[in-house]
Amino acid sequence: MDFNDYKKHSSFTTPDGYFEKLNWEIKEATCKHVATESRRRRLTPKYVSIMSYVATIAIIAVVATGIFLNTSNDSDSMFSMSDESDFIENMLTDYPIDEYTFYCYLTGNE
Amino acid sequence: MILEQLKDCTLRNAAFSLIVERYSKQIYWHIRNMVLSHDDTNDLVQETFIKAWSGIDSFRGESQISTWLYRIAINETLAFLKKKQIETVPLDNEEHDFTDTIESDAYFCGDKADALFRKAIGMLPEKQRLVFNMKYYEEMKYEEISEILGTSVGALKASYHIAVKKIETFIKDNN
Repeated sequence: MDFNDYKKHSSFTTPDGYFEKLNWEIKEATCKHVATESRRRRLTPKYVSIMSYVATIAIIAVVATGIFLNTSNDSDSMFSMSDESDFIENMLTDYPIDEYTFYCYLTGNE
Repeated sequence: MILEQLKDCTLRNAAFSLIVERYSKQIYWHIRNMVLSHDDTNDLVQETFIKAWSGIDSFRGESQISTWLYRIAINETLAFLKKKQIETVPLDNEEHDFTDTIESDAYFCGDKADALFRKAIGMLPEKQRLVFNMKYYEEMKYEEISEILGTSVGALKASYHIAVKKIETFIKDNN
């Protein structure tokens, strides 16, 4: 068989009336695509604006809570720290103890 | 003319329908020669036209509509073949007989010689196969292929020549 003979007859076929059906299917598929796209475009601005509002409120809430908690924690810890140092100072003044007992108190070792 | 209609939203649908009617057959056979299966081709043709439709705004008319469609079809086809190659790597690493697959296709009406010829084409690297099909089956000019693939005419001629030699050798060895 000559090299060019293969080209003379197509070895592939398609179902009957395939190309008419194909054109129709393509048109239908693009119409569906258009409908989906336009619905997505219609929905997007509302969705995006609602989401951006929610995100902004959430960020503000998180930042505000963080600042509040941080401030209250700081004041608590400062209060407790000064309280504890006062207690130690008073204890050392009023009840003189040896260095080892004091070391045990600080390290928590019995 | 058709390009102006494509840019006009009110005429776009009608213009695109004309494009589908004019090029769907051409695009179908181009893809079919690459992927062989009718069902896969059917999906890829539809995908090509949907991509074209959604990309109309980005088409500036610098090339012909057919060139633009061919480029989309080629990208879709090569992506499909790559995906299929990954999905169907045989676990046993044995070479599966291509002619068995093609001959069992309900829409293949060729004989053993045709199947062998298709098998020989199937052995070519994808890009070379693309050039061979466009030149041999679709009888395109090198200049047209060059515009679609963005490859020089000289390189295309060399690629086609090498492809023909490979096919001849394959058929000689397997006949």
